[in-house]
Order: sequence, then C-alpha cells, then structure tokens
Amino acid sequence: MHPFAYLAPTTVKEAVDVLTEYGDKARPLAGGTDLLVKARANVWDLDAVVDVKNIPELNEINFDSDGLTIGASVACCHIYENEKICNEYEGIVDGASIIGGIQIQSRAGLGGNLCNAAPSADGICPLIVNHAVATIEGPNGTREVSVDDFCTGPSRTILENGELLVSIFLPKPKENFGSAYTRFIPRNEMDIAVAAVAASVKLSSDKNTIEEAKIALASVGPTPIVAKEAAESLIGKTVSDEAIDKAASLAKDAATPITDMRGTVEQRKHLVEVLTRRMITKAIERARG
Amino acid sequence: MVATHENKNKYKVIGKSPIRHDGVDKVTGRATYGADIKVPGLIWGDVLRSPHAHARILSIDTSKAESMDGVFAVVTNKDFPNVEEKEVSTGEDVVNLKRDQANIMAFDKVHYKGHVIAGVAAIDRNTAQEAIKNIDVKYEILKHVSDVDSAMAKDAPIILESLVGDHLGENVPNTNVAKIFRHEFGDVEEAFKNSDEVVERTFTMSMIHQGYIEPHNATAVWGQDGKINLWASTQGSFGVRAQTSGMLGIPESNIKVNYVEIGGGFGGKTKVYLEPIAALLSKKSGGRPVKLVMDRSSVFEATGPAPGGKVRMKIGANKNGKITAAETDIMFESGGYPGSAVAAGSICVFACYNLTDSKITGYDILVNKPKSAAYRAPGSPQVSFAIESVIDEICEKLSLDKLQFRIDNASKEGTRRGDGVKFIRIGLEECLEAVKSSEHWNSPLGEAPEGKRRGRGLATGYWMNGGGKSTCDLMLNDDGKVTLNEGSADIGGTRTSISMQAAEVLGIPVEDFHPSVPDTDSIGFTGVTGGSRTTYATGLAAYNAAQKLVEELKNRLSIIWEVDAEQIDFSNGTFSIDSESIHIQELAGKLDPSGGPATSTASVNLDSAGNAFGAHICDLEVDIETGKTDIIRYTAVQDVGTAVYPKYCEGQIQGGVVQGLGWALNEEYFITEDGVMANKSYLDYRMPTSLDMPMIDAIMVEVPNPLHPFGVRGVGEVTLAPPLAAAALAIKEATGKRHFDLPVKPGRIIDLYRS
Amino acid sequence: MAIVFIPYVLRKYCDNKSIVEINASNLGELIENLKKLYPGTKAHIIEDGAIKPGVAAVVNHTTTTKGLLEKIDQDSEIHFINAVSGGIS
Repeated sequence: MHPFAYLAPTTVKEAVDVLTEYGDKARPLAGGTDLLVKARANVWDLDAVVDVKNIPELNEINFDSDGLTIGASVACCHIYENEKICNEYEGIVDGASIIGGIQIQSRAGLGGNLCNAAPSADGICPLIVNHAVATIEGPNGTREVSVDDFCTGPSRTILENGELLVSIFLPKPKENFGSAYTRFIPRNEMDIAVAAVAASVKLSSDKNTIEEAKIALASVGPTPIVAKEAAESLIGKTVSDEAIDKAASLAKDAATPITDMRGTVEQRKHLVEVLTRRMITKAIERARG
Repeated sequence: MVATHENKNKYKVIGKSPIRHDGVDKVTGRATYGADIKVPGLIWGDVLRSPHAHARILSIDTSKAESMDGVFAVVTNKDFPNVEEKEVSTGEDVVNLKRDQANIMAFDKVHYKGHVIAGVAAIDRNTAQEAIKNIDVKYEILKHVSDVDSAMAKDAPIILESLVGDHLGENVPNTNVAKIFRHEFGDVEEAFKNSDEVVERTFTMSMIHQGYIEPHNATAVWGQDGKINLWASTQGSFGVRAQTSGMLGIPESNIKVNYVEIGGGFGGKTKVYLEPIAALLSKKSGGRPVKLVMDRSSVFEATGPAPGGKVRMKIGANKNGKITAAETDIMFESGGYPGSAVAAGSICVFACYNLTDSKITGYDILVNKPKSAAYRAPGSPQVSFAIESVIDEICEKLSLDKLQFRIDNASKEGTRRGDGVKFIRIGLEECLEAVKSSEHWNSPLGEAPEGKRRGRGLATGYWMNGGGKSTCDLMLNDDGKVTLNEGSADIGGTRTSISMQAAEVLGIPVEDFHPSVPDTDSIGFTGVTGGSRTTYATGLAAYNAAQKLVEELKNRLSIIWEVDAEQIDFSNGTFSIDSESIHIQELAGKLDPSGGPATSTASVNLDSAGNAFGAHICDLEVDIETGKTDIIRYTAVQDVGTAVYPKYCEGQIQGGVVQGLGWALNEEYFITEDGVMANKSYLDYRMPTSLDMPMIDAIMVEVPNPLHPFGVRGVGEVTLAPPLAAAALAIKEATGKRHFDLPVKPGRIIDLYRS
Repeated sequence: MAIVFIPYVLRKYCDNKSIVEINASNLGELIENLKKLYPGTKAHIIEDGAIKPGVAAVVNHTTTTKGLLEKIDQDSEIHFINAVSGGIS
C-alpha cells in the first residue's frame, strides 16, 4: 500500500468533483469496512479516499408520506435501532442486523453494501423486495435507478465515473405487505451467505390471496438475482403450501450458482428452494400482522 | 465439576482457583506481545512468498529492490550457512536443519504456496511491502500434489528430490513417502477370522489450522559483538534459540531470546519461521533492529497446520462384547517436508482399548502444502475419529451398548498400547464410569423442534503427555514474599499453576508469589510449553526448588537457633523445635546473620509423564433441510490427575472441545485445483465463534499421577481428541447416516441425508 | 532377564521374534548383547555412540532420558519406538 490522500468533502458537489478528478484511483469511504480491507489487500490501488460521512444528505433517515429515505452512509445500527423502520420494513432490518458483527454494523451501512456489490451482500436483496430506488448524483446531475438494476457483476455497479450514491428510497409499504430475508451460513454469525433469499408479498384485504410478490436471491449468481417467474407464480394465488412450493421450485431454477469454498452448485440450489419457502411463509405471516 | 478420587483436604493451595498473576495485565491490555516490541532504530521487514504450490526457482533478481530508497537489506537462502541434511537433536527435539532452513526460505524449489523466497528490511512497513514487489523471480511451474493418494501415485511429481524414504526399514529413493513404520503384536489375521463381526472403513480428513489469534512475529538485533537479541511469539524460548542457532550456525549461547506473552500456540508456535530471517536482515542492515509480523493469510498458508490425510480402520469383535482384533493404516500429510504427527497418532490410535492382536502401519507423506506441525494432542484427533466411529458401528451391528462396550474393553494399568508399551495407573475406566453416572448421560435428548433431528454421540480419546527438561528458581525476599522464575512460556496461566506447587510446599499464600518468565540468559534450560508438560514438569521443578529452599532455611535457622538442622521440623510454613517456632515469611526478614538472601534452583529432566484420557458426550440438532448443526449440550469427562487450578483445567477442557467441534463440523483447508488454499481468512475458514457453542460442561476425574508428588497430569491436549467422533456420531444418530469424511459440513450432511 | 520388544523393522534380524530376552545391567550393554545374538539390530538403534535421533528407548513405561546409562533390571521391559518430536512431547 502506498501513501494516499484523505479527502473529507462536506457537500455532495464537492464529493462528486473529487471523485470525477481521481476516477478509478478514488473511492468513497462510508463505513469503510469493505474499502479498508480491499485497499490493504491491494485489490484497489488508491490515490485518494473520499470520506463522505461529513455530507449531511448521506447521514439522514427521513420519513415522509411517500416513504423512507436512508442516506448512503447511515450505519446499520441506526437502521435496526429505529423503531419506525423496525415496524414498517422488517425485511430490511433482517438484512441490516446480520451484516458482520456488532462492530461492523456500527460502521457499515446499506449504501456501502449496495455499492460494494458483493454477490453475497445481505443488504441488497431486502432492498430489492422492498422496491428500493437509489438516488445517484454525478457530474451530469441526478438520476434514480431501481436497486434491481444497480449491480452489474461482482463488485461492479451502474455507477459511472464521478457518480456518488446519495441515498436509498423505500416506498411506503402498502396495506397487508410483509417482507423477510434470511441467509444460510454454517455458523450462527460472522459469516458469508452460502445462499440467501428475500421475499415480499402484498395480500388481499381478507389476507388470503397474494396480490403482489417479489423474490430476490443472493450468493447464487454474479449479482443479486430477481426471481421474477417465482414471484409471478404467486400472484393471484390463495395462500397455500402448493403455491409456496411451486414458487420455491421456480426460484431454485432461477439460481445460477458456482461451486466454491463456501458451497456447491447443488447445495446452493437446494438451499434457495428451502429458504424461498421459508421466506415466503414468513413474509405472509408478517403481512397478516 | 471435580469428581475426586482422593482426599483433597490435604492441600492448602492445590485445588483452589486464585486470581492469576498475569491476569490484570492481560485484561487491561498492558501485557506485552511480540508485535508490541519497540526498539530504538527499529526498521521493518517483509517477505516474498511463492504464488505457486510447486515450482522450481530458476532465478531471483533482487537488484531493483535493493536499489530502492529506504531499503536496507534483502536476504535469500544464499545468506544461510551450509548445513548437513541429516537429523540432529536440539536437546528437546529432533530436527533436520537443512530442511528447516529450506522450509523457512526456499533453496531451489518452492514446495507450497506461501513458501518464503526472499526477505527485505526497509525504513517502514509500506516500503518493505513495495520492495517485495520489486523482486523478480523466474519459476518453472511443476505439477503439484495436494492429497495423500495423488502424492503416492506412480507418476506423482517428487517434492523433495534428496529424500530417501524409509519404508519399513528399506531405503527408497524418488518417493513422496518419507516413512512407513509398523507396530504389530499377536496374529491379527487369525484374530479377525475368529470374530463375530468385522467392520472396515476408510476415513479422510482435511488439513486444519490451530487458529491462534496472534500471528507469528519476530524482532531481532544482530549486535556488533556477534550476539543476537531476539523477541518472538513462541511456546518455548529455548526452542527458538536452538533452532535459530542451528540454522544460522551460531553458538546457542550467543543468542538471547526475550520472553513476551503469547496469544495462543496450540503446538503451532514450536517451530521458527521468521526469527532467523529477522536476524539475517538485521545483520545485513548494519545491526538495525528488524521486526517481521505475519498477516493472517501467511499464517494459514505457511506455518504449521495439523495434517490431513486418510485412515483405514478395521476392527473385529465378538457377540460377547470383546474386541478381537484391530488393524489400521494411518496416512498423514506431512506437508512440504517430512515429519507429520503420524508417529504420535500411531501411539494414540488403540490406546483406549485392551488389545492383544493389533497392527498399526503409519505413513508420513509429503504433499504441496505447508509443513505440518503440532496441534494439541498431535495426530490423536484424526485417529480417534476413525476408531471411535468404527467402534460405534460395530456396537450397532452387534446390538451392544456403546458405553458398556467401551468400559468392558477399556485400557487399565498393565494394558499395552498399540506400540507395546505398558500403562501405569491410568483413569480411563473412571472416566467412563463418570459418563455412566453423569446427569447428561442419564437425561433424554429431548424433543427436537419441527424440521430438526437430534442425536447423541459418545467418544473417547488419549494423549500420552510429555515430560522433558524444566528449570525453576526461587528467591525468598526480606518482606516474606517469593520471586519465582521459571522457563516455560505461560500459556493458560502456568505461572500460577507452577507457583501454586511451590506455595503448597512452602506454606506461603500463592498471592505472595511474584512469578516471571525470564529470557534465555536468565534461567536454566526449559523445554517448550507443549505436550501438556508444563504444570507437570516445570511444576515439579518448582516443587523441588521449594524443597531445597526449605532445606536451606533449616540450615540458616540452625545457625540462628544454634541447633542441628535435622532437629528442625517444618510444616504448614512454620519451622519449629521444642522451644521455638517461626513462620517462613517472618524468618525471611531475619536471614542476614545466617548468610544473606535465601535462594534455590531446581532443574528436572523427566522421562515420563503419566497419561491422559477423556470421554465426551455430544448432543446436537440437525436442520434436515439445510444440514445446519447446532450443538445443544456437551459434556467432557477427563482424568486430570490432580486439578492444581480447577478453573484452568476446566478452561483447557472447554477450549479443546470447541476446537474439536470446529474440526468436526466446518474447518478445512479448501484447496483449489491450483493447489492453493482458497479460504485463507477467518471469514471463510469458519472456526466456531462464541455464538456457535453452548457452555461446555467439564467433569474432572482425579486419578493421581503416580509420577508426581501432587498427582499432576497434563490436561491441555487430550480434550481435542474425542470431539470429532462425538459430533460425527451424534449426526449419525440424528440423521441415520454415517460420515467418514471431515469436516461433516452442511453440504455433506444434506448430500448424504437426501441420498 | 530383561524383555526386549523388537520393533517391526528389526524382526527380520531376530528370527521374526517380537520379544527376546537379554541380560544386561544398563541399556548400552543390552543393545550390545542384543547385537551379539542378532547382528544388524544395533545399527538401527545407535548412531555416533548414542541412541539415534528419531528413536525413543522406552524402559518399562518411560522414555529414557538417561540414554545408554539407563539401568536395566531383571524384570525390565524395553521398547524401541519412533521418537515423537516437533514440540509434541
């Protein structure tokens, strides 16, 4: 590791300016829990680290009538310690409360988790099933991108040179909505997902029919996978084991895992089926209140 | 809990758990570890490591690195003196200095990924790291072998070309099998024929690492007088001195190894890796102090893990519950150079069972992985997994109770181990009886939650324990307190467990002891803290030193009281004759007229240690959809001889169980097709965390060791032997499937369960 | 007479016996007397006038630290096994 500049802009514009100037040789520092590891391991060769924690917009949690905006550098602990978020976005809290351990959760946030774009990220799939939208500021202005489309490959995103993730917007949950996320790890904590699934459902007013559904898979492909067919198979169905099993089986088909030190293709596909069944069931339980 | 087999009230200090002497410094972060060492003028070192598992080094060009600003020195194997390639004794160990040199810095070939090729010393750590990138090495990449089968294959690449294998006494060149040896008694073939049931299985296990938290480190100053001053994280300063001396061709007494605290070793910090490199870098840097600290991936890739390998196990038994015959082939990966724990494994494998017809064949096999080293009861966990699994299966086939079967076949005083050596008084039967009467064994497993299944496993294990050389010095100070110096690196609170033995003799509260571990210039030779020898052997040195101090004080008192020393009685800390008495701590301030300070020193060289046995019960729960296991209850029963400090004994037992469960369930060297370890970080190595473990219950059985005045047996190692089988057999009971490959990770559980 | 357990690799020099009886007062003498009866055995146990590195001599239940000077009694039993090294004991 060679010496690098530490920059701490206080406005989004300043941050975008220095990121534009340094290009690939600079990275934003939010929690730093991925950045420091990658810099020390020479994965990134950096001339500048751009600390974005001094920019107000990136540190805010805002509720309004449309939904919730979470600043890109808000740490996980501030998410799961927020009672309103815990009540309305249970699936988000499922993810935020298992990233690393307590020390990591006190630094790392969902914004960094999204930009790091690990296939195994615990924060991204819950965002997807909660219909999250990323707000990005760059040299050419502001743009909004669905989190579904944010990751393009392992450690790769749609962010272009000079662009900074400012915040993540989560629409207000509809009536009878529920979401849930879980991962499989061989241990109880401090581990990387072998496979993971997030699911959300919106039920009819009698809470027996699934009107909307979304399923996202982690650690079983180069990016988080939106299991569209699996989710669509649920829509219009009365809540039943058969409907859930069918969706779980379709989710398994959507997974495209590899074999590596964390698990095999067969094991991961099998886990996707098991976890999808469990997460749809849990989302329905939560939707029913 | 302590299930004692003798009257403990006879002791005043032994059997209590006082506050440990090094405790405050350790919990407040004041204790000094190797990486904390700061010496004026300190510069930093780093090493270049091989990216290949097996390659010939065609050339090393260090010129670019040497010319960099801030770089003081570059060393390669050329900087080491030439030594003979043969086995020599270091006073406590047998080593091959040429191969040890080559292991810490490659000669003409790299034998594993991470093998060191060159070292650099520079003004700071970053400059050293940048300089490493500027060393140009040309390699011819060779075919590699990562497991024992491919290493023994006919067309296997030969890793150590100078090796002549010893195959049952025959010299065999061009082989990766360094040694084949055998212990054979009785007529095994005939005995198998006369068995009602024979079970034969083959087990595999992965290489695994001790996983100590503190990485290896070394700081060295090569003085202008040719003497070397060293700081290193080690289980034995004298071992560091001997190995560094041998590899550098410098007299041992010219090297001073300073004691620093150690953040875990478990056998892995008995070999040197960085110390001679730091010394050579210091020499070439004009005597500047040089510090080297490994990162975690280097610790995994290039220190001394426990061997993986293969064990074939064949056991015969009769319907009446008697084992008839036992035969095993133990094939261990030694790593890049010869010398695995297979010799120890062969001693342990049948030690829990009373056998007359047995055959053990051991294989020491080179593979392109780091050179293995000791890990807590080296060799025993692997073989315990194999035999205990087969014993369980044979009990199932013969419908015999698995606990009673073990009791009926248990080794006892007079039983011979698999290598023929006869046991003295041992406590295996007492351990098994303690299992039988334990609350755990007599409690039902309980109902599993939906989607989960429960199982209980039982397994035993053995470790021989070590003796060896130790020294202890005592100084009785004027204020009545005692300064105690001993040579054993303090792992697990041995300063206190050693002091307690002197305190018991002297009748002085252990709180009035001030124990230290000095440098190698300041205490007599003391072997490594390993082999569960420290509380036993260094404790015995302390006991002897205390007895000598009592004799010395009697002589002094004979001057003061003007009586014969033989007339003076000593008990409970008080010296007395008919008319007078004085407590030792009061006497301490009145010694001047009798000749000044009273001190004593004692060294021992113990040829045996007594043996350690354990029997463990493991309850676990398996999620039959995901293969996830959760340990729900665990009880470890162990013969601890005499629990000098029961809380430490309990801690040792619990620690070993946790390591064993990690070995059983998730830990492994995951080797890629390129022969490199993929999971070389704690994130992916998957050791258990505190959140994965229930409280481990320890039942300490006390069958005093006849070789020690207080009955002390080594405690720290046998605890790692039984958990592998205990967990795998619990999984068998939960899922109905037997596992023969470690680790029994979720993917394997699901594969087998669904098949 | 003391009982000597013959290691597997030396049995070929000892008429394939696993146990032989030898008279001796110490270990050095025992190894000499063993060699007289069974030539070929000593070279596997002794090197440069001492027990080879890599070999552990066990008298009764203990690995001797006194080497060739270890006293041997009429009822002693002697084993020559692989030394367990590497900080192992």
